[in-house]
Amino acid sequence: MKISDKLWIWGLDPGADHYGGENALAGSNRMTPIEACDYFSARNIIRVSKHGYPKRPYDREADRLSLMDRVVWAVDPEDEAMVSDVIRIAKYHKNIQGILLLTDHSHKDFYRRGTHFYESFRKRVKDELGEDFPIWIQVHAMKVCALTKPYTDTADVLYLCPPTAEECANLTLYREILDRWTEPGTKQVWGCVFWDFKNRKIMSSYATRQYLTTYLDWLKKGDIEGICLYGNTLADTKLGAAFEAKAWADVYAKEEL
Amino acid sequence: MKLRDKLWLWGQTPNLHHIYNLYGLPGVNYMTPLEGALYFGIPNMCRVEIGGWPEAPFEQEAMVLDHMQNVVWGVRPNDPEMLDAVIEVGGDHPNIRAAILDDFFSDTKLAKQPPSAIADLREKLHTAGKRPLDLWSVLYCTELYENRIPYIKECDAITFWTIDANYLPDLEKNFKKARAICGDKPLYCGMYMWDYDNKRHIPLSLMQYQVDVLYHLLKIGQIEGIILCSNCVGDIGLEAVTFMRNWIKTHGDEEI
Repeated sequence: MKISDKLWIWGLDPGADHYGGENALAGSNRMTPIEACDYFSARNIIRVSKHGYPKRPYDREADRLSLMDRVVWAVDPEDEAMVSDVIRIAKYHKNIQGILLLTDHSHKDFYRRGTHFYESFRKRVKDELGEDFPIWIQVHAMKVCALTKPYTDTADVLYLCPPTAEECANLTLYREILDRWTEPGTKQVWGCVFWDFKNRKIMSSYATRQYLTTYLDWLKKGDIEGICLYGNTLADTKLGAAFEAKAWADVYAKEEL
Repeated sequence: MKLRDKLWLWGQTPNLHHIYNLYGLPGVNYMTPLEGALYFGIPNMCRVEIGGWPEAPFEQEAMVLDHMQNVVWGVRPNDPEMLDAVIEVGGDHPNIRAAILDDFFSDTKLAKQPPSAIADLREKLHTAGKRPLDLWSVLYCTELYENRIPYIKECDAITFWTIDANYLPDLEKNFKKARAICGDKPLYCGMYMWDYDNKRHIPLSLMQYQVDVLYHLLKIGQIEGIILCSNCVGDIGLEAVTFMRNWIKTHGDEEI
């Protein structure tokens, strides 16, 4: 087992984060999710839809992603057409090994939907894809507390991605709180984003290095399940954080775990 | 060295073989050059411009190919800006070894420039950048005439192609002519998976014959490599693609 086996790419259609200028990103983006995996030596993709792309049905995209070891498909759990299509393709593509439930940044979705929604979603997926098929839930690390526990308890894997550079200083604290308010045995995959989406500014190389150094330490200790780099939509846009992550991956990705 | 190390992909921007339905190709193509290389298990890439894509500067395209063993980048004759862009990107990416002229040996193109123009192009590739780049060119089986020889002499390597599958049964004979015209220049053989000139599938029997001939030429050292065309047909359901992928799976790791 190598570090690269535990590396994930947050995979969107190229240009998805530049679209409409909402994130104030410079340049243009052409790199595909698979290309980003090769670039960073990652073996796994979290495939995320944005602005309606990729389009349903997802068979063609799933075929394309068959090159990867593992694919987790992100869904808006209230989009029934999306959810049912992902469940359908997961039956035919053995490398689809998880469904990730996206959530909003304030966690209002948790409270609005209620625990029953998550429990029902879990039951449906397990009934159709098997008890072992993992449910991932996106959680915002700084907002985990006793109130989120009923929701996170319905997940097999939690995906956490601190959205700003400043939070790299608080990672250990976030993990302590997270461990306190989640069921033992719930796996964690931590994300490293190359752009400060919240403040629409660059993520420094320093912060990126801090994130990845901390994650790698956790990964080697067996505390977390994986590291996700966000992502192909930023990797070829001359961001220092992306170059830093590439340099990090070049050193560590081939290392035995 | 494994056989796989002698395989190349002709990498072009997705969907551009489908544009205007020039070649009668079925389906829709999304596969990028790198995705094609990963799909076939091919470690070398000819990244070639078509329809103005990719646009210079080429950094974004080149960084994606950084894990390829060798990359050859397309250039156009009489396009100094493109040439400068290729030399620049070649200097920044050590796996870029050469530039290649596509569709160059037609009578109309040759009429526009003397061999000395190609000599100048080659000289610039060899000397202007951080590292020397070789000059390659495409040569079709319908262009095997002696008036090409002065141009061929100005290239470092030639890639030989049979784009009209009606000529495939004569592949061995035509290759001998190509070898005679090219002298001792390193030769690579291109291999199509769609009969572009006739807008139709290549029968698997012809694919088998084609790959058998090229495999033999490779083993006896007559050619330096085989170039598969292309990612632009890699995901549209062609039998020839499945055939070649399986062939590479079977033979790719043979020592050669």
